[in-house]
Amino acid sequence: MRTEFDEEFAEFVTRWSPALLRVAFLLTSDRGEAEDLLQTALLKTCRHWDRLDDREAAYAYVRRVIVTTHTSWLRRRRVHEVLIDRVPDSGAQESVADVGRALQALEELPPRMRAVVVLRWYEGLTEAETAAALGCSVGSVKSQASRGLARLRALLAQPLTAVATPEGAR
Amino acid sequence: MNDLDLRAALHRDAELAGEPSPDLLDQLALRSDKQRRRRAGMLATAVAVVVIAAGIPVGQSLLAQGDGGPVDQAPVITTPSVEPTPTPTVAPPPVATATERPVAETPPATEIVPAGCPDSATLWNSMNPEFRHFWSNGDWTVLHDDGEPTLCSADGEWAWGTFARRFRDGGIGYDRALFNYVDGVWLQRVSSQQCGAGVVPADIWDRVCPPDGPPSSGELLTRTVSAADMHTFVSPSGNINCSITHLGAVCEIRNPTYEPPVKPSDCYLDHGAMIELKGGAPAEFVCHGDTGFGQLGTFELGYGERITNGFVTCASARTGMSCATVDGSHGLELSRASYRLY
Repeated sequence: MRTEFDEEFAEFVTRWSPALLRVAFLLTSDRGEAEDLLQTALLKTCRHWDRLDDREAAYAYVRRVIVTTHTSWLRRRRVHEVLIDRVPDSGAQESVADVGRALQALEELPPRMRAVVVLRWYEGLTEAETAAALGCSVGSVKSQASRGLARLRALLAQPLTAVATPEGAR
Repeated sequence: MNDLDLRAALHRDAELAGEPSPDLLDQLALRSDKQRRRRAGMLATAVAVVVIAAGIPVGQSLLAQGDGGPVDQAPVITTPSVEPTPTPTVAPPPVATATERPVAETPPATEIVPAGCPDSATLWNSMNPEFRHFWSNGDWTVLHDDGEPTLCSADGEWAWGTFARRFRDGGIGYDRALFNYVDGVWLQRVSSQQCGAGVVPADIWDRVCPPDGPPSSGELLTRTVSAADMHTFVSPSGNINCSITHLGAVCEIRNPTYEPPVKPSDCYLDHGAMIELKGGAPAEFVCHGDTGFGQLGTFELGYGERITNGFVTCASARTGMSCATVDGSHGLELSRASYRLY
């Protein structure tokens, strides 16, 4: 099928969608939902592409749309899914190095706290940048980051099998 | 676990996402096109219902546009052949109320007498192609055996048809249209135009002609939407955005002028502009960091129009937006100047 997007937008999608997909994935823990979230955010961005004065900031813009859209989805859909089919075999050498472990721990965090953690420690944003991306205060980011980190540490100190929670427990 | 460990773990797990679909752009194009057609379809339906109720003499011009979507939203896929469509405005009805029926001038003479009151399928086939096209172009299926029976005037020359649309998940929506039997065929008419001209017969007048002009008749303008989906709509002013599911409704207002409610001490985000109504409890302001404005699929809920999903009904009025449970026990009323929660 022949797409009819703005050429610059198409280039942006091609170049940045892998990185954006990973952000969406860390927020959702689900590959399909992450792609859905990415597409939704890209379409929202596309509608305002002509009004994006600073194309260099487009990545940050889409990332923010991803975060806010995901938060909106969680609130409005009241969908709570816990992915448990990616739990690696747990062995005696469990550690933070286990693949999927951090993702599983992220699922334990409230959405806003999870977003703060992803933006601060995966995307490497400053507290101010994270606050801007989430549309909240720096103080809120600080508190969420602090609590999120503490919670992650506690979760990752637990045996792997104890990380998952029953559906709807949150 | 230190910060470096956490970063490394996050980066490693993020790789589990893999790569986006190689045809991501094509998928976006498809999705964009589907959303655009859905928006156009919903807008056209809303406009059609309002047009039918209000008698806006746009005739075929408005809905004949290929795009049909609002021009203030830049379409994702350009359609160069489509001329800009003027934003539809709801004009007052030409004349008349339900209690004050104008005197008919000269009803159109018809020598051919119809065989009887037509069924929905017959009227569907007689509908203006533009209307039929848009009603056929959404995420629903038009039914011909699930609506109310056609209401016909005693002289057999006028028919008030009901068309049912089944959404993907089984929800049903209804739309109505007026038809006049002329020269052996049923012709779709703009109802309020005919109401204003006083040609709608008295025996169906109360059903066809809205009492206060545009859009005040709940029967005409209530739409029952699919229960499983979330439907997001915006007031005609664009100031109030609501989403409704079968579980409840969330409404948000831009630039309110009312005295903001007290912000909870544990809310570090925004508070005072978004209200949530959910089952069994009074509506309440919520702490939020996002917005419902600008979501794909958002449609305009015209003044006087209502939307019902499960146990919640929302109504749009010039005075603001209101949502309430069907038993009326809980609800919200929201406008720039005031709000009411119960």
